[in-house]
Amino acid sequence: MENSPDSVPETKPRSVRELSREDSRELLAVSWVKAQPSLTAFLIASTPQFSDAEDLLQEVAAEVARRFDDYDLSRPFLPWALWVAKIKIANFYRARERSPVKFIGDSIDALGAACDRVQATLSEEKWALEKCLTNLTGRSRQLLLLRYFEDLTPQEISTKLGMTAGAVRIALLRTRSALISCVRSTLASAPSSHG
Amino acid sequence: MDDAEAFELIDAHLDRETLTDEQSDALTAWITADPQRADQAFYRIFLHSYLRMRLQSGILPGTSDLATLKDFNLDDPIGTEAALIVDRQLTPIGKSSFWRSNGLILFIVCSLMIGVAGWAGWFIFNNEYNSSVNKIYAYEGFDYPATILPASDAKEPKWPTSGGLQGLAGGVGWSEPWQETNSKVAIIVDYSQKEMHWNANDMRKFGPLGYTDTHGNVLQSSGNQLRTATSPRSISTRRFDAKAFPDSMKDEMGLGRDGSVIWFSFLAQSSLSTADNNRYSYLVIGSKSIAGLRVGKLGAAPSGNWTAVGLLTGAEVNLRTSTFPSGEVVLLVARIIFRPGPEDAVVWINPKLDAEPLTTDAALHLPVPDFRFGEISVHANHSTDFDEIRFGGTFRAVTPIR
Repeated sequence: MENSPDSVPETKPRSVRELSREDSRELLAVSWVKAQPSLTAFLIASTPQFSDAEDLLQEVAAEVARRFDDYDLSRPFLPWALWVAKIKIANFYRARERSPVKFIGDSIDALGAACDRVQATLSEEKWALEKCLTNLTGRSRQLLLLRYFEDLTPQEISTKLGMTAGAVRIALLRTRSALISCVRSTLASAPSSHG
Repeated sequence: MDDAEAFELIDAHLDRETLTDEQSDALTAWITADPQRADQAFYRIFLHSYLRMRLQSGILPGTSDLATLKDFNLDDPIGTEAALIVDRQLTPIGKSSFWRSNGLILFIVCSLMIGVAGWAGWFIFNNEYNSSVNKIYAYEGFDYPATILPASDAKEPKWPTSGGLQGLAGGVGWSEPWQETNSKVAIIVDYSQKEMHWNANDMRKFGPLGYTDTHGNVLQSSGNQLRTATSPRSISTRRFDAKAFPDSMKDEMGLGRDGSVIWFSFLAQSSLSTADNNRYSYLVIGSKSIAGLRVGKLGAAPSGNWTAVGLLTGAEVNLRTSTFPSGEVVLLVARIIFRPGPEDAVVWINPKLDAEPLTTDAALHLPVPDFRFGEISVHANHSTDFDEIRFGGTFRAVTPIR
């Protein structure tokens, strides 16, 4: 049906405050789910341990929820959430009276920009990564489980297995590189086949 | 710095190694020189992040680890190349050109030389690993002496109002004994004692709780079992020992930190439908007043069959009910993935025990309001038997087979 000359043109709300409470909550939930993998990766790179990143992620989630009324709907969500994350990272190091890791401190803006650029492709990356994980052999699987499930460092893994720390580092390095290589070839050979 | 060295340093940083100032400066220069490099760096970081998230459950997709073991020498970085991806599309890494060009030949030679040692090492490692991953966090088998029921002139024994489960402190992974908090108490029963005058349709007269899947795998179970009270009810509660759970499951609010996964299982048998007379008998984790999960026979289930429901500020939400009828012994296995926002709860009833079942085969799948837990409670207003309550990090941990 065409608009009558007297009809009021539809205007998009610019601020979350203009949305109903239900719409606001739904928008927050959808935006958070999309941004969370990128934010998690960003926090993991910025903190000493996985558990620190996981703690910070919860703080970021709470802060994003608290400030969500201030979010400008005309701008993308992830950079805004990254801004919140950077504040939380700064607070994290301030509370511990420590300086951020030098590499992260100097690269944080470049990595934040990269996080924003690659976000749209992460769902495809995850799909391909799942396929590649099924191809891992027993040894690589075990090393990854020791590193990521038991949260052991290469040094701790080496002690547990009675091997050199260098051998563990190289094995983990190659496993990760091989996974990334597999993801690239999987995505290249099956464009959009996964929907 | 070339790409391979940059990835090596990113990995080192994410593996909690300390970079020198020179390494940090070189890596920063590499990342900031070109947006494409920054993207590559971020993909690398994302890989770590995803693996951490994905492996929280201790399970990777694909075939069993045991089935794919190869004979490797763990001290030999040459051998690592063959341990990687099957398609062998390896990305070059720093300081590895020699191994790239000669790795296959050397690997074959080394494998022949050290194959036996490699097998032995991996066998030991794998056993140690599996015992660690499959560790159970909490277990209650109700292997206590049967409760002595009060003397009664009536045909049916009188149900006790004290004793029962109160103060029993067996099992592992608990910080306190069981507490009974209602007018009657749940009791410990020995199937071989025939005090109960069963109704004609009560299947519990045929044997103790136990479970064998359709492939003949038998769940480990033994000893006596719990029986809840009737007329009016029993509520039995026990707190977990948080120290028995991994740190990755905890935050300041309790167990169930976002990103963690818990599996739990139990055997149960209830001979009466809960569709009538508002009968119920269920296990609950979390809190009725804040949020949690009930699994069992619920008065709200229209069919009266085994059911799961979320709890939110006193209300039942997202009720899911199964087709498994009353009367039969059931093994219920549940997995909860704790996430920001609602948790993802899946319940399988009588699954095959060979391997972790598929989510698509679950009897019940529901979102549960964001919650934490610190205790377990068994509520009932009619007689139901429970046994072999297990909490762990994997399907195998909570479904050990004989």
